[in-house]
Amino acid sequence: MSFDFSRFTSLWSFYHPRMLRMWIIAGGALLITYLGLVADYCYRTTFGYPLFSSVVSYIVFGAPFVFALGRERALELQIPATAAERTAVPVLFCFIVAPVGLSLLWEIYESIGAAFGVPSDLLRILNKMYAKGEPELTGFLDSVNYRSFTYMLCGILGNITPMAFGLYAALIARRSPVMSTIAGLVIGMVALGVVCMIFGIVIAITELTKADLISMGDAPYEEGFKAGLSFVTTMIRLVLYGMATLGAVVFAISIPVFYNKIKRSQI
Amino acid sequence: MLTLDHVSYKYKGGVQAITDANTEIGPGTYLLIGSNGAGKTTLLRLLSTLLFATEGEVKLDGRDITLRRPEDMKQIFYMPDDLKSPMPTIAELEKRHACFYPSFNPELLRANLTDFGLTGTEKLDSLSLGMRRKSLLAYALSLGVKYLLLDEPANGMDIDSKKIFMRMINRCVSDDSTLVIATHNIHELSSMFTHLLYLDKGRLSLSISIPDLLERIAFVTSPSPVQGAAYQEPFGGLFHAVIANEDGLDTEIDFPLLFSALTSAAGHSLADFINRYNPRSHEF
Repeated sequence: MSFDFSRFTSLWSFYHPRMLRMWIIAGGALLITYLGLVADYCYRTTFGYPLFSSVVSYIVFGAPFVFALGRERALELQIPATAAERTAVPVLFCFIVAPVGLSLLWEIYESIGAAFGVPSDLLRILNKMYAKGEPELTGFLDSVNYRSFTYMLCGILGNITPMAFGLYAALIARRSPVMSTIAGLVIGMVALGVVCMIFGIVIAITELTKADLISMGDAPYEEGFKAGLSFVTTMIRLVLYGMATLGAVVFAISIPVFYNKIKRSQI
Repeated sequence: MLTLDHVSYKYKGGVQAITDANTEIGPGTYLLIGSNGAGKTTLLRLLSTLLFATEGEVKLDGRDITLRRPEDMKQIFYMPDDLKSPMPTIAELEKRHACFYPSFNPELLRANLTDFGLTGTEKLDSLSLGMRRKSLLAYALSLGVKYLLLDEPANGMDIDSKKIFMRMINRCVSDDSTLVIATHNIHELSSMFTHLLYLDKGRLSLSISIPDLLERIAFVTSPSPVQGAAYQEPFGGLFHAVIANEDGLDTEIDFPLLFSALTSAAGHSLADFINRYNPRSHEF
């Protein structure tokens, strides 16, 4: 059975109303978030920062709900399309279109804000204000280029692990697809957290040994701070790369898993 | 031709819903009957690939239907009794779903909706359950598929709507297509059926055309109890009976009476008789 792009387009159109609903809700949430962060910046406070930064981080996890909310399984399973075409739609939307689209939307909001004098790196500024009690962390934030392609790619890939779990739950759930999707996302985030924790511990031990921070106990403060900052920066960067690598591996594994599951889906 | 080849289905909880079903379903209008829990919905789901048989095979023109080839799936549509539309209106459903079915006829859809007093632009959520079902039924009948499977389509319909539904079927279903209807509304819809499928606790006890059935059994009415009847029931001062048609009587089928007979204590014997009796040789 060959992949028919015309049928794939028809399938995409079939899900389009639900995708549009996601764009409207996510776009609206991001807009409110951006305006909230602008308000925080204007009043030099970080009152809303924890909530708003969470929205920015997690809004992309609304993508799997496109395939959980408002579905009619009896109708969808009967659609004359191959398993490959049925797999391509949710995978492309959740892993590529939604993350890239939402990142672009945020960039658009920041660009519009910049035209009104709002700093374009609003998140970093508020992030530093929020972390002001931790000089190593603010130092790290100064050394990271948020807007680099590498950092943004790491961000997108890092989200793939929970996204894959959430999408899998959305696709296989026969009852309560919404609750199943939420459960899948949570399990995915926990799994990602555990992997990062293990990775972080291994990296920390390796880097601590390299930096010889323990024997720096009596060194002057500035020397110790620089060494500590270098250690934290390296560790966080490596963990980010680890998350991204895990995301890429999960992406590669999940495609055949989704395909086989969709091929044998029953009501 | 849809073929059931020793098909069985067992739910994960251990319930055996269908046991060793064997039949061919070709052009015609099939009435699928059985008591509650007999397996009618399960059978329709097996025929439409919503479920895969745990044993045996369901085939379409000799091909394994569980592969869900688009060219096969374009020929089949199953409308469950609780179908909901993922689109807000029938017009939207037509725009985004009908494109998968090359045999879809938009004029037929307009005509069907008009018959039911609908336009297709109504918000389905704002309609009553009955009107929503009519909308979806009008849509399903316009898809023009070769095998249309309907589960309790007339549920909740008033008498006029049932008449409209029957006219719609005559208009939409061609001679070379297959319509399978699982329903308890036997009386109002009886004139349209050409074949009978009877499920008895998961077993396909009968799969027979109506003319063949009427060669084997007859439906008679008598003021007194009928001697040797396979089944009879008193109603309105008369006895309505199902008898072996050894004399070649030309009677009309009485589906409600037949259903009562098949689900009675003598039901197994009756089904067995129908399956084994040869009306030409009058032997088994």
